[in-house]
Amino acid sequence: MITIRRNPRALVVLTTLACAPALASAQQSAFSSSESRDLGAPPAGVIMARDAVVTTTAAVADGVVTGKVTDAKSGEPISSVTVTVQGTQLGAVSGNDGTYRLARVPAGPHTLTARRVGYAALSRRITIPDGSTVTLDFPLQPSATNLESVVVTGTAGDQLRETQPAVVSAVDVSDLLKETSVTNVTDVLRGRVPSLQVVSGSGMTGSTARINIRGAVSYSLSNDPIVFIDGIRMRSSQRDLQYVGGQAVNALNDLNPDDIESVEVVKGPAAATLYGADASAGVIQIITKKGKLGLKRLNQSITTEYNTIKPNFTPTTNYAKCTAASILPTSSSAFCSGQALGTIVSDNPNVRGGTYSDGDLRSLRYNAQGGGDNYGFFVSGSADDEQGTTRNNSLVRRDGRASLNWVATPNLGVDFSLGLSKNDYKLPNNDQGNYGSLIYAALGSVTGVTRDASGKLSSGFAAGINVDAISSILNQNNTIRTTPSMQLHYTPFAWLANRVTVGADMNNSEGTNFFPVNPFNWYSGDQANGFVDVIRENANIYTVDYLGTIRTSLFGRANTTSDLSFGSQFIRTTFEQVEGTGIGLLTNSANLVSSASKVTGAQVYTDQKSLGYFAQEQVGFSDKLYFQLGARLDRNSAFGTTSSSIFLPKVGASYVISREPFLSKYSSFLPTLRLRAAYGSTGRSPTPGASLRTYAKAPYITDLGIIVNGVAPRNPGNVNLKPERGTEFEGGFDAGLFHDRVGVEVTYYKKTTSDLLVVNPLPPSLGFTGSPLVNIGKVENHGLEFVVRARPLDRPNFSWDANFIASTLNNKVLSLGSSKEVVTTSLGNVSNKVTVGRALGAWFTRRIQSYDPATGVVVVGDTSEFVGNVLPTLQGSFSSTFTVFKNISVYALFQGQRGAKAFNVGPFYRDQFLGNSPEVILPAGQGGYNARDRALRLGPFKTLSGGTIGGTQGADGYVQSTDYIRFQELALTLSLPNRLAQAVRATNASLTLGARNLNLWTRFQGPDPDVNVLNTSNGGIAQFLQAELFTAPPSRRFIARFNLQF
Amino acid sequence: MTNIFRTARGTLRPAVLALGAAGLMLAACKLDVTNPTLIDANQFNPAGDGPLISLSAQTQFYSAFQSVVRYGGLFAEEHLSGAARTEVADIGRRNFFSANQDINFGLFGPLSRAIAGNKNVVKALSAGASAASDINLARAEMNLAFSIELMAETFCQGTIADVSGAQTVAGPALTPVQLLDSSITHFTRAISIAGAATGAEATKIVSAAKIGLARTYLQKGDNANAATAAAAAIASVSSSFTFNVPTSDDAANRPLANQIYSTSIPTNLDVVSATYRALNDPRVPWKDPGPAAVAQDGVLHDYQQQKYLSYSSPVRIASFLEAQYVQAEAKLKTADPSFALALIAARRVAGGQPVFTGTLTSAILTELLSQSARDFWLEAKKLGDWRRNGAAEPYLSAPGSIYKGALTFGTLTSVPIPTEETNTNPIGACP
Repeated sequence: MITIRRNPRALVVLTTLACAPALASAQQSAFSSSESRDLGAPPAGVIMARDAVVTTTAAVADGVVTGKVTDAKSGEPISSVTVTVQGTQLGAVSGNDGTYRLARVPAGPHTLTARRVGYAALSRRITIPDGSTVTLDFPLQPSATNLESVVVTGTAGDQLRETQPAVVSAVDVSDLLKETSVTNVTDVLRGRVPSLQVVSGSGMTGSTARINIRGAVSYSLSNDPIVFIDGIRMRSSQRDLQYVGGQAVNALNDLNPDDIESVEVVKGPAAATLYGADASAGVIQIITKKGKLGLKRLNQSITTEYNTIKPNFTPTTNYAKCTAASILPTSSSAFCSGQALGTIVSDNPNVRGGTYSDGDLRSLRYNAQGGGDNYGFFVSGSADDEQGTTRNNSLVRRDGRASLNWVATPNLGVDFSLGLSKNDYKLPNNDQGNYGSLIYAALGSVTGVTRDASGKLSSGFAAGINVDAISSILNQNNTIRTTPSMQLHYTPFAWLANRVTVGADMNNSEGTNFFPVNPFNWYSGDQANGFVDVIRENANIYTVDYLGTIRTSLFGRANTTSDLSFGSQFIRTTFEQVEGTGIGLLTNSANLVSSASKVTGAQVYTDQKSLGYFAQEQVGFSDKLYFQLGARLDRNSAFGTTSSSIFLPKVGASYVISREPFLSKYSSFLPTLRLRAAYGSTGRSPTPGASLRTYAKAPYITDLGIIVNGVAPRNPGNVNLKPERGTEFEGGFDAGLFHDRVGVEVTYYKKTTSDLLVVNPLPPSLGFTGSPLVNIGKVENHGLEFVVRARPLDRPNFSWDANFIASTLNNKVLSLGSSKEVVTTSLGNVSNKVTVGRALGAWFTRRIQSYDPATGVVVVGDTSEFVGNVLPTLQGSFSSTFTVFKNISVYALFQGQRGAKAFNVGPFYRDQFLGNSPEVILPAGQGGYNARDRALRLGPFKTLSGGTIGGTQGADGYVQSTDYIRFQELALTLSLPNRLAQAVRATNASLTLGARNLNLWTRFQGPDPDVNVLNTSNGGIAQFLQAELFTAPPSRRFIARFNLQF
Repeated sequence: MTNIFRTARGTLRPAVLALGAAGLMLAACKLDVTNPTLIDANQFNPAGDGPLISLSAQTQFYSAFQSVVRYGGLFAEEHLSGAARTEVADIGRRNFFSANQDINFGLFGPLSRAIAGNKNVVKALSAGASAASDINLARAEMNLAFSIELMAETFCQGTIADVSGAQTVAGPALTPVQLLDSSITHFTRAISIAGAATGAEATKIVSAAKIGLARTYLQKGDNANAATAAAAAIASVSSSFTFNVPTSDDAANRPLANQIYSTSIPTNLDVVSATYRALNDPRVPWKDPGPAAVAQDGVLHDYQQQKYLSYSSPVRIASFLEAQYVQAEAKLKTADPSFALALIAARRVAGGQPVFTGTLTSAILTELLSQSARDFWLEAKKLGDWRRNGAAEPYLSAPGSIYKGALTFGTLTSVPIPTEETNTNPIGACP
């Protein structure tokens, strides 16, 4: 309902531009078709509406706009809607009651736009007389296509999604956290972005995950995307300050997801061109929460959360047959002494010792948002204490963030932001690392378990260690992270916007590895008598970024718009590590490095700078056809300052064809249809100094034992080194069906990395310890992405929202220069290879050809053959939210993949080398292999050409499919009745009960296919070593979260 | 048209201004960086410092020698691999392919670095004015000769990079005999250059090179020259002479430590086999740390060698005793068993064994090799002895016999060139 109060001096100007055909009929009564050109073109693609209520006061020059944003269908107020005044820095966000207030709006004509994810944007044009107060409401139409939402990533400045030729995926974290069981940033991304794969390191609290987007584009360099927070490049790579097996600390998860408004994902070169020569693996932009201009009150939120963390697996049991020596009455074997020869005995050192137990998370988070007429602020603080599933696995996180956005004048705004976090991780040794509980249990001898005089059994672990010994090892990683940033917005004219961003991500870390002095001879070597290693690390990234955008009409025609953007970006990354090692301690309390009997030190420092200039022109015709042409010119210190610049072009088009009159008759069925195509290129730079010819420090020793610094040839370098160059074409369409209740997004992409940086392995006979990088070869990724967002049911007391995401991937090495295969790494007879015609890191081994039941002989190939891919060829997820009575929601997420294989090394090693698996020891039918399966794994083997080979060559059966479907998330959120909330003076209260990793359906025979033995986000072949090797699988969580809003 | 120009002019002016501002802001951002972690070849010229490059290259040889002691010792069954890593175990049971990564990691890579490193030094210093008596050059020649000789003993074939100008290029396949001929050349040069120099180290180089030369002739099968060279060494070298790898207990420089100690006692990777334990010879010292002592693989009991008891225990490369063995074997193979019998008698006393009574040449050779295996246990001699004498070499398991549980010994008698080399330097498989 609209009420009009008019001051005698007020002047009301109501203008309405052409409506989107889709909504024209729906809002026929509200909109007119008149058009006004003199005020400049409206933001593309938005719906223009009329109707404003104006009240003026003669003494004040600037006006005020207030109003309410509602769901056009239900009439319910909508919160968190951004209302902006085009051509100024003015904006406001609607509160929980849907109201907003914009002050200091200069008198004159303006276009105001209201936007929120899930609704079609709505723009309304008004003229504000001097000192007037205008009431302007926004009834928003629900929309599953989100074409009118704003994207800030992958384009120059804030742009409407519908104008962008390439897809930029967005996850509304703020909304997500209200109804799901997400606990960290990688959880936010998992299963919610097409073609984005998250691979866990392990089930240990704090361990890193690897992220791939649209496959793998590089072999030598990391395939992890680069990450920005509010335009500031952040450190996202793992922190491996101490070697703890295949794990490291996840730097991305330093962030508190409660501080994040949304995450945007740019998937490849077609959209990432403006990020320059380091973005070919994609870009993730984290947009943090900000203050709310015009809110005029304080919104506060307190959340407390408790998780129970289940290990979600049973460590493997060792089996053995009693030997002649162990059955003797005099034998010390606790299990075999006195038994019959060949008696099968078993032991599970981890279960017996209680290595794994339930962990928990206790979390308290607070945030407040507020704002006045020309400022907004956001402050937050959180405390998380998480105990992992082993004694020495924990995370203590303290996080705070503050931001202030201040609109100094209508055309000048400044945003200040400061994030502070302190993250203290403790990780146990894991995987194949020394003193890893799973591998040392597997290496334990069942027949060697003894019983002492008190009847207590020995631990059963290898090397005489036990759970106390394993748990007493401290791997600690403490990081203080500071992320200050400032963004200056200056719009001297309505058509010219300038933005300067300056910020840093400063990581001060300390890693400690401590082996205590103990009387039990737990450890050996340098760790035998007390050991401490301390690494202090400063890893800083500084960003300076300028962006200018000129928006104007072309050729004097208001429906032909031009957005010319230009800018430059400078990023500097410095990394310094200082390490001290102390060997031999007197006491555990005097545990400084300097307290040790032997002290050593080390230091590492690297510095890398990149500088890029970019420009982009976007031309729009009649708010439905857009062409984009852009380029970036980049230089990077990795190649020396004398290297030439790298030119990275992009081009694309977006066509909202549903706005054409000839499709208007289909508007009820197909209200929105956009076609898009984009081509772009980016790069990927190697580490600093990669092109240099270098020597290595190589101390020599004299006959007197004196050590003097010497040198040895290290790397011949490559003066012609260039960055990898990624080019990508993508094309597809976005469609809104059935009154935009169903949104469909289909994208085909094909990206190619040329000048692939490959370590050119030199003949060892040349004597270098390192091999140079060379630009040879080409790798291609292509596939289809398919997204459906729908609200199939929408009743007053019941609604159902469903999202389906699927993507395919075909990754293939197209060439490797003059070689067909340049690099291999192997475990036993199983190799990851980079081979022409196959996916990066594909699995190769001798393939089993036949089995002869009569002789028991298994025939395998003469040579290693391709047996599977590392990267899945199909990924998908399905999420569903049921909302009942508007206050109960049930959210579920299923996620799956197929087409990849992993090497299940644990059973391979236990079968082939240790011979202590139940399958090998137990008879067939009682858990042991039948004759066929035993032969397929243990041989005897012959090659196709008749040769005899050893048993360990039969590894084919251990390279297993990682196809799986996982019940990833389940959450029940109950919005408590208002009277209950008001009892504690809150405006809203909600309770969420949820779980993560509830069930797994897979053919993989290890605990979980979603682990990576060397879960590195660094480069090199190790990132493709998808193998289970005594790794604790992802845990299961049960979550209870209570939220109060004031 | 007027509108177009007006628009363009209106657009261009602020664009130029803004671009100028951006350019000014970022033009100051120089891309020069310092990376002190790296030793940039443009900033350092090692060829200008003879002692530095020669002693550095010598350490590469020391490292290679110790690797051959360990891995060659595994291959020749002087000790067993108790490592969990399967590649090491496969070398220990002589059942592997050229793709086994530990061939390069443990044997070919270190030897290649020692050869290339010392060859670089020889190249850099040979043109010097004092080359004829340059101790740094003599040292490099000797270490180069030892390294090549070890490659010939270990591998079925070898290759040596060619240092020409600033480029180092891969060389062709070389037979063991070709390698040994090259080694002989370098030993001879080392003796000549060090002989023209003065000082204790010059004397040491002459002595060690003479013993190495004798051994190389023996390995080549040139028994007459071997006997002559050994006699020359024995005549000129002190009976207490040894040329050792000096080692260090410096925790910051573990590559300079005794690697056999490092992989046995502190880390229970390598264990003493039943065959050597049964010798009960003080020259083959070992101990059982107790019933709970298990090697890293969880399979083998951790019987620990006691020959090298610390990180700083030296490792013998060449000695007067070795010259005696070379002379004894060379003479035996030229129908004069007297030297072998005398040496066997003396060494059996050292080992606490009764008097040897064999008379057949084959029996004497076997006994001589048995004594050599004990005296030079874990000193990188047994693999060469085996390559030279085949079945006469004692303490080796037959192909097909059980190795560590269900695994069996293979048929390899020398180590193939690793694929890391053959993939990039197509010298082909061994003939």
